[in-house]
Amino acid sequence: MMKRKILLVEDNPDDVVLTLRALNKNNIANEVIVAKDGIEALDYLFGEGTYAGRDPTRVPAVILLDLKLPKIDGLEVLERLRKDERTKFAPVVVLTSSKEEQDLVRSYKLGANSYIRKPVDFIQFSEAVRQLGLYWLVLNEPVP
Amino acid sequence: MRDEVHLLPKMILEISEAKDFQSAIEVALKNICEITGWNYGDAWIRSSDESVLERIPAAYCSSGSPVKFKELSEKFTFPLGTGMPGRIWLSKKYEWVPDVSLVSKIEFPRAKFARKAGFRACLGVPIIAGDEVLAVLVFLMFESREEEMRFVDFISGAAAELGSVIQRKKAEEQRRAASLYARNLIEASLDPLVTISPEGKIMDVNKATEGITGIPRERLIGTDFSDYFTEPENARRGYHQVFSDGYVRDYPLSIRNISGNIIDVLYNATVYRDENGQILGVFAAARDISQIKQAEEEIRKLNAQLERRITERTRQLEAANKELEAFSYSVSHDLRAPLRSIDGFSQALLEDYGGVLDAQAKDYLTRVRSASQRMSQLIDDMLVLSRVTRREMKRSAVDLSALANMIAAELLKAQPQRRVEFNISPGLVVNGDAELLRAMLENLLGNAWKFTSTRQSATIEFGVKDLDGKPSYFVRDNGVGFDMAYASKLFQAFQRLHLQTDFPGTGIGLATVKRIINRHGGRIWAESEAGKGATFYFNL
Repeated sequence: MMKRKILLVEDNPDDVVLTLRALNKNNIANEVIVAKDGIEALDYLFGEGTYAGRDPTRVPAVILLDLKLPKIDGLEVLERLRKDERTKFAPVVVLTSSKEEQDLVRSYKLGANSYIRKPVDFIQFSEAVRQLGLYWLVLNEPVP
Repeated sequence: MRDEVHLLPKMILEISEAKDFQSAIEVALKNICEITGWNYGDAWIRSSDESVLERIPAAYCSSGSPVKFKELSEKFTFPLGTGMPGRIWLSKKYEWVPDVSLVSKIEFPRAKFARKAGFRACLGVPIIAGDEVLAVLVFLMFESREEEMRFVDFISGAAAELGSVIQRKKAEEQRRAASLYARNLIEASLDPLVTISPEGKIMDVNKATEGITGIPRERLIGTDFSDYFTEPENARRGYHQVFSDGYVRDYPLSIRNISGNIIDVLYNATVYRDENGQILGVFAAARDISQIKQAEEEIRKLNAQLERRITERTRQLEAANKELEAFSYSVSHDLRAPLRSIDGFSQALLEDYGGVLDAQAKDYLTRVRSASQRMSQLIDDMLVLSRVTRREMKRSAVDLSALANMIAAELLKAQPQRRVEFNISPGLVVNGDAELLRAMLENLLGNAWKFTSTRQSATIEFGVKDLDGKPSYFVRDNGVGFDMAYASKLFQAFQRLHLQTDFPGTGIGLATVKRIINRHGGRIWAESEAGKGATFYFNL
């Protein structure tokens, strides 16, 4: 069976490269789909727009969600996918720069499973990615 | 002396025309002496302290009689019961002495002077009104004379008349004084006063009423009280209420004066009665409250203005706060992303190209990384500083000692290899924002921890001291301290007194502490000597 995919919602290309590098360095081999804004993320999840025809019941193993995004921001993506039957149990890890209390509280209120603040120190960031990969891709038992 | 009885009415008339009590007596003395042929007459009344009898200044001397006796008499006073005036005062009866030159000094204390003046016969009579002696009249003549009833009768009769005239005069004087006093009181009042008849007609007014209405007294008296108000019906209801209840308190009416201006007043009124308790009318006092009302209106306007200004300022402040919030949100997100790239790709270079880079290139990349991490720390600390200012204060009782113990435990756990002794006074409870006070203590104790890192055995103390009658809390350490010359820079953001390589830090911690103390309305200051530790004091 194919490994389930990871959806990375991130508009900053540098951050995309660094996140992929961190996943790679930690031997996380799952395929990573990158969505550069909120619309693209929702299109992927619901099989619409450029992802028309994709089976939306195939929920990603984990969604790594940045909050500050063009068009539709991360919190709205989270809100919409939690409202949809098909994606309401999808594991969502908010991965963002912000340490603002308001972002944290709203993320958890909208049903985020984790909230990780991307550290500037890449070594620390890599460690965080390792741990989240271990937890969500290996230890966690998803909804059947 | 034959027609003396006919002269009595003329004398009485003259007496009653006298302007006061003393001149009435003066007139009586003169008339009696002239009519009956006595050469000298004087009168004795009670002194103002009522201890003795003294002579009233006016005395009668017929032409040719010695003025010397009159002058000497003026210096005499008689205690009650002593001398002729004193005896008569008590007995209320006349005395006749045929020849004063033959009687003792006890009986007639002025005998010696009388003898020198050549006086012989003497008659003293009381002037009585009701039961009271008003004065004693004493007459003397040059002849010696046995008691003669016709003298006694005439003079006693005159004295009796005199008594009633004087009494009437005195009462009149008293009444006039009382009336004048009352009138003065009424006129002195700044409040318009009016008396109103049971028919609602104005019976009397004072000057203030003329002032407020602009109408002279003669034109007010006799007119309807209610005519002078914007609501006559209401005014009528007012005085009817006084007649039925006996009074009104603060009854509001508006006077329309002669120029058409409206003056708001409050009426206080009571009925007044005659001696038999019969209601005569209403006594009403108005208080002009137009100025108070105007002032109230002014205050209301100013308040409304203030309210508007506050709303405007609040709106501006809210807008500024929102902007600041958006700014720091943006800082939090956007300033950090490039730093991640700088650090991340430097690390990627080190990892992927470590083999082709020489030691110096690697050192440069390491410096790039540590600089970006340091900048990240600066951003975080700045955000904390700005959050301290924006945060809403939630006051409650905060146990600083408990907080200090918790922070100390955390510090010891983070660096268990260090040997630091904490002395924390128990039970230091203040009123403040728990979260802000925690941040403040974290900074102060954290600093003490940091700047004692070079000490073999460090001591950090948290306690309270009474300075200028105020509890001043302090954090004291035996660390490296600082030079007091730079104390003023201590609490400014980004100011550091030590090298980054000696003691790391962003220079924002104490600025944050100061803001927290400021927000609590307190003060913070520090004392130190380089190399000998530092003490940070604060009050709240």
